[in-house]
Amino acid sequence: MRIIVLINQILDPSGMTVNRRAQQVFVNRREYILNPADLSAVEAALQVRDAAGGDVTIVGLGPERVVESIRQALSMGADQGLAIIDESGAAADPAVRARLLAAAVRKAGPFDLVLTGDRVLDSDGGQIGPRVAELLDLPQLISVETVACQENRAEAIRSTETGYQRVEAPLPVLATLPPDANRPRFGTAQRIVNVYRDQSAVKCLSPADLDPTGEASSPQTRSGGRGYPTPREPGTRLEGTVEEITGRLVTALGLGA
Amino acid sequence: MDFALNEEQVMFQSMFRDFAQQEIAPHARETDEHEALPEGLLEKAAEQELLGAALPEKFDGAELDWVSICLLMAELGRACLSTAAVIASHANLAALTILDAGTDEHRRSYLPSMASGEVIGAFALTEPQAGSDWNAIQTSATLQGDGYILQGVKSWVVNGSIAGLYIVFARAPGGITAFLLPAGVPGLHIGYRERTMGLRGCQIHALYLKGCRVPEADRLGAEGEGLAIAARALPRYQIAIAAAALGVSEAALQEGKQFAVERKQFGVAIATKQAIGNYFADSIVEIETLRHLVLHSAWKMDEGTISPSDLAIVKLHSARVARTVANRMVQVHGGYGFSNEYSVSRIYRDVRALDVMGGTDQLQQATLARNYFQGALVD
Repeated sequence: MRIIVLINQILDPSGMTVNRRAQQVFVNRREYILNPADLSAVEAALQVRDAAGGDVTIVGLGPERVVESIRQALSMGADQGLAIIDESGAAADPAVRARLLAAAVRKAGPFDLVLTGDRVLDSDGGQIGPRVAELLDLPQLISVETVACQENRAEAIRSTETGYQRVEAPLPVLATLPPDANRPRFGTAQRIVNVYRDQSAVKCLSPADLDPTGEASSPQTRSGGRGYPTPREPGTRLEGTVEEITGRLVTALGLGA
Repeated sequence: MDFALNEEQVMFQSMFRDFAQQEIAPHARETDEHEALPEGLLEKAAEQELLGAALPEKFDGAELDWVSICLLMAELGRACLSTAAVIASHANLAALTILDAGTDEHRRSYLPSMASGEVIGAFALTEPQAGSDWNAIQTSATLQGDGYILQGVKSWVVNGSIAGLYIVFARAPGGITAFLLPAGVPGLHIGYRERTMGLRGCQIHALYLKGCRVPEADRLGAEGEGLAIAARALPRYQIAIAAAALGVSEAALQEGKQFAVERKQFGVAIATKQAIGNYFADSIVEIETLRHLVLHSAWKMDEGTISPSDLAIVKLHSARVARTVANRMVQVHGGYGFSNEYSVSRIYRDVRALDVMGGTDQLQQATLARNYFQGALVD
């Protein structure tokens, strides 16, 4: 079982203060963490590997510091890392990001399972998984809590508002996981030592290695500015017995006869 | 001068913090109330290789440097000082003393199981009449056949009731000597538990040695080498305790901050009051100076250049900072700081131990003054 996990690195939100009045996010402490949903994907990958055998490759895309997040995944037990070092910031565009990641997955060789987070905590776009799946022509299992692989099929459980769904797809497949899908293991001291001892544990490529013509790197989205959503008016609280509340609700909705 | 942690140390710190905040901090209150570490906690720490962090790889350790060990102890101290003290006593006092003074046979038979948490270590030096004055040890080790018979009382043994292995200091014919006693050997009895003001998660007991037989092979070092072994062990414990003091000071500050931001009096958050702000400003300065001192001392440990005075400074200062900051943060909480409902109250009780464990403040002061005046006072 060859598993590839796509990861992203974000500013640690616990080092930020969001001030609505100033319409600004203040960065009190500039530290970067592995995106929590991607951390779930790493844990899910390690569980699949531990059950079915094989190996886990971590693919990260971003400035050079992304290597630290890949090393974190290696310290948890992943087998190898591939970093696409992009200092230009072009990969902030989800279309560019997805194209480069898809190219990196192809470059990493044959695979059975691609896992990633279902959202990035900072932009919350939720686009990368589906885009990469489309580019690689893979079936996609989106926002699933668990993934297990058996006899060329991936089986996953998805939590919905009304219960759980069991979904299946033939391998190879791409699945995305939410940040609270599992409890990611911690790295161990010895593995951290080894990750730094083995300088070849993370291979580094540049976007040009994956996209020589630069075609994939042309952005498709343009930022029109940033702002806060307009504050919503507080709702009206209905009080009383169930019958009274129901009557008032019917009237409030204009459904009264 | 380069004061930055290297990338590896940053990742260690991050792992230590994640582990301590997720697995230890949520149980700090119950550790205090139930007067024991939660079931399975040491096993989890062992899985992360935190119990054998400083041991060589060949004994299943992670062979971390002292800077990293201090980062670990700071995170443990931040999460729960009881847990930090239990681990420091096991890893820094007991395991590293076996590495330092044990034979290859001792190391092979005990260190891997201490790294895995299968065997918890305890250090039995203190006696009712021998606290700072190690020379006053009365426990006797009488030669008999190819071994010794130990007779006496040890007190203040951290991990007393959970240890699988005790390092016991006793007076042999050749002078004070260290011995390795596995739990359960005939004649070794776990005595009363100390009812303590803080660090209630530490199981601190008396040990009774009643005709306890120890084969010569389980003597640690030579006869009469006991005090030298203890003197070498102490720095490894003191630096760990100083780092834990740094962590717990930061925890106190964080508790104070949360309260000062949320608590409103006279229509505003009390954090906006200058008198409260000054408490924080002074505490921040003291914590930052302590951080530099702890890491610099750890670096000197790694370089092998640390002196007794250096250790006395970091040990004394760390205990003072922790006590002062915790005291201020209790005051920030007003009446609530006196309630056990708030963590700052537990922290305040816990940090009081730092002025005595690993050598009292007065002992550090005496060391410093003696070394400072060395050679200057004739007659």
